[in-house]
Amino acid sequence: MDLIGYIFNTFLIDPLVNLFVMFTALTGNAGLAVIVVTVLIRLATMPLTFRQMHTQRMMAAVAPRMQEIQKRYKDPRRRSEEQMKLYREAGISFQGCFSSMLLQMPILFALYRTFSLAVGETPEALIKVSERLYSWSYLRESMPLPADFLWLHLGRPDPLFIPVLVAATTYVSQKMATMPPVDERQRAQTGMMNVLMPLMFGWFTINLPSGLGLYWILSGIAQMVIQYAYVGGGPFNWRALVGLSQEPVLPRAMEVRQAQQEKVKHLGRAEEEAAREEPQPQAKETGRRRRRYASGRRRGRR
Amino acid sequence: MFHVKQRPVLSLPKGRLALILGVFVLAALLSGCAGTVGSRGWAPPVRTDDELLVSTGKGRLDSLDADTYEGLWRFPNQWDLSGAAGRLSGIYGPPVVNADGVVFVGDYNGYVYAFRPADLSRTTEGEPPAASFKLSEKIIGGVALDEASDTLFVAAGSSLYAIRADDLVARIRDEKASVTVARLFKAGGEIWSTPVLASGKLLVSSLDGNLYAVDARSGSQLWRFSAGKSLASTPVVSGGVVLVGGFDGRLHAVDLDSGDEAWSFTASNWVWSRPYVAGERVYFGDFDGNLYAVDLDSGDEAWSFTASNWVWSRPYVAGERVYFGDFDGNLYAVELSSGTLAWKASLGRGAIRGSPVITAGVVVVATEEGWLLGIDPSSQAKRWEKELDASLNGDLVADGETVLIAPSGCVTPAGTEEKVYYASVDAATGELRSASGVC
Repeated sequence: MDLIGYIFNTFLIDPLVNLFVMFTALTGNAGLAVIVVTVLIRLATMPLTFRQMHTQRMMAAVAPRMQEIQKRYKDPRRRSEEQMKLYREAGISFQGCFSSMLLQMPILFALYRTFSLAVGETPEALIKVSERLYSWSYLRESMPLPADFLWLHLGRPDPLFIPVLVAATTYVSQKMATMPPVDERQRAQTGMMNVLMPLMFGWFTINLPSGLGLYWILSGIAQMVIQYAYVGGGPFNWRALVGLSQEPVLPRAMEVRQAQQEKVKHLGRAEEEAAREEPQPQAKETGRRRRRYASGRRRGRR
Repeated sequence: MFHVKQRPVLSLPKGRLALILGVFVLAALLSGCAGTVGSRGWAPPVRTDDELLVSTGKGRLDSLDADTYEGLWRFPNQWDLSGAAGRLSGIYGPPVVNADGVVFVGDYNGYVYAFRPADLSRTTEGEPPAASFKLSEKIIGGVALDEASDTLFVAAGSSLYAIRADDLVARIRDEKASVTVARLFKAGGEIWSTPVLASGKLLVSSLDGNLYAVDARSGSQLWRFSAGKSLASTPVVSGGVVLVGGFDGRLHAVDLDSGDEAWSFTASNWVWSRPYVAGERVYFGDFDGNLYAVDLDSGDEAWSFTASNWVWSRPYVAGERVYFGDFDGNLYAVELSSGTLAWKASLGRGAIRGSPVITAGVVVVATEEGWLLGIDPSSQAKRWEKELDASLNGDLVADGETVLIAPSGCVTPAGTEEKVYYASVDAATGELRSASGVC
């Protein structure tokens, strides 16, 4: 754990703290530095975010085909093979998705940790930040950081505007990512999530330093921009945003989904067609496998 | 007849419930565990005639009998303080006690308090009252009491206030009693230092990079010295000169009367340690690990010595040597005459933040990781060492042959189940003395 902590601190938090202090010194304002650093990190991790979003969307698109496979193949090994084949043909890479998340999560957590360290206004916080600064006099001389930004003091909570803005940005970014529900149950669940999560995040920021709230707001806005870019722009459905329409907030998202579904609809079909033409060997093979599997289980019991 | 099993609209499958719970836990972790570095305070212990005043925990002040170390009272727990005033969050400056035994203390929560410990024995029902007065912002420096003018000077946020001490005392009895408070002065940045009263002038250093001299009665600014970068440490007055270190990496000597700079000495990094004046020289450390000896009259460097890490603690001069610690946990003894290293003890017990002391022929030093060590000043041999398991960040205070300490909290010594609070150590033997009734 010490090694992980050392790596996390040395290669993520320390560089980010120094970057943040440098931008604060350059802009003369910690609030602007929060904006610059958040945007830079979001831009740097955008390919990973896109990859992750693509994988998630494609997963949703192949879900109906996946259900078909589950119904069709009773043999677990064969079913698994078919599923993997479908994923492969659809260009879904779990490794890629997992590595994207694995890379992004520590970076975003480190970013949050950086701001929580840097916007602290106690003398102890100043010492903690100073301990992480590289030996460059420019950085040291810019401490302590100017913490006033707009109406905020970034080291202190703003119990009014920041929680509202955090809740609002979380709500909008969630709504932009939400697709029309397939049934009433999903509608209820999605509706509840879309309300609960923004309220929860807003509530958490009531007592947090407003600098952290600012970061959450910016992250929400970045998520919206990424979402918008992912679907390729297009119109914005304001009525859906406030719940007056069941259409998605980004109508283009439906086109993207349809295209993806269309793309995956025929995947794996050729073999199924071939299998349909020769149903006997397939059935025999499946039956043989089932017997082998069953006898294996029996042997295992002994 | 068909019975339709209807699923409640808001029922959740396990996966979705787990997701909501996961998000909730993550958000709680982000907001709680990875929150900002909070206030704790580092007020050093204070010895009065018959009591020791120690901040034994965050936002807590205990009094111990100076002879028996029996806990006499605890503020604010044993006093009647309601609402936000009852929630203290960190005492940085030492409390002060007036001639009538009233204790005045400021807290990071922005309140100034006055309470009379004698009321505890007089009160027959409930808790005795304490007076509180909310200033605009956090209080990081200590309070300064001028009994001649009956005024309490406190810096809160970027403002310097003068509070009529008698009014605050009257509020102990009558919570509606009005308190005369004047904002004497407003600096351009926060004030983290304790106001220093010298020749009718109040001296305050500010993070705006200025050292201010303010008329203690009228609050008018007498002069202002601009250092350019933040000044966080409390100024030291020696003769007619005010000494203050800054984040510009300099020690400034400013004429007390005119505010003109007598000289400034360029160190290589932040100077946050309070300078120590001994004889014709001033000694101080910087955040590049240097200790400097500078001539008080000319500001010329007599010598400098390079340690291995930050020097934040105030140096301590005794005999022919100056003693100081660094953030690598090394204790140094340097010859006053030449600046050569007499010895270096690599303690390896965590950063040294508080000032060491010498008494009973032993150098006593404390570390952030909670170790107390007694070192022989001539041979650097370790006489004793004790682990407290609680941080020791405040300055040590010599009281006869005993050294007063203010650990961050109670500890459970190995082999026991009882919690104790250590309040002092015998310099000669290293025997820790715990206070009773604190934990």
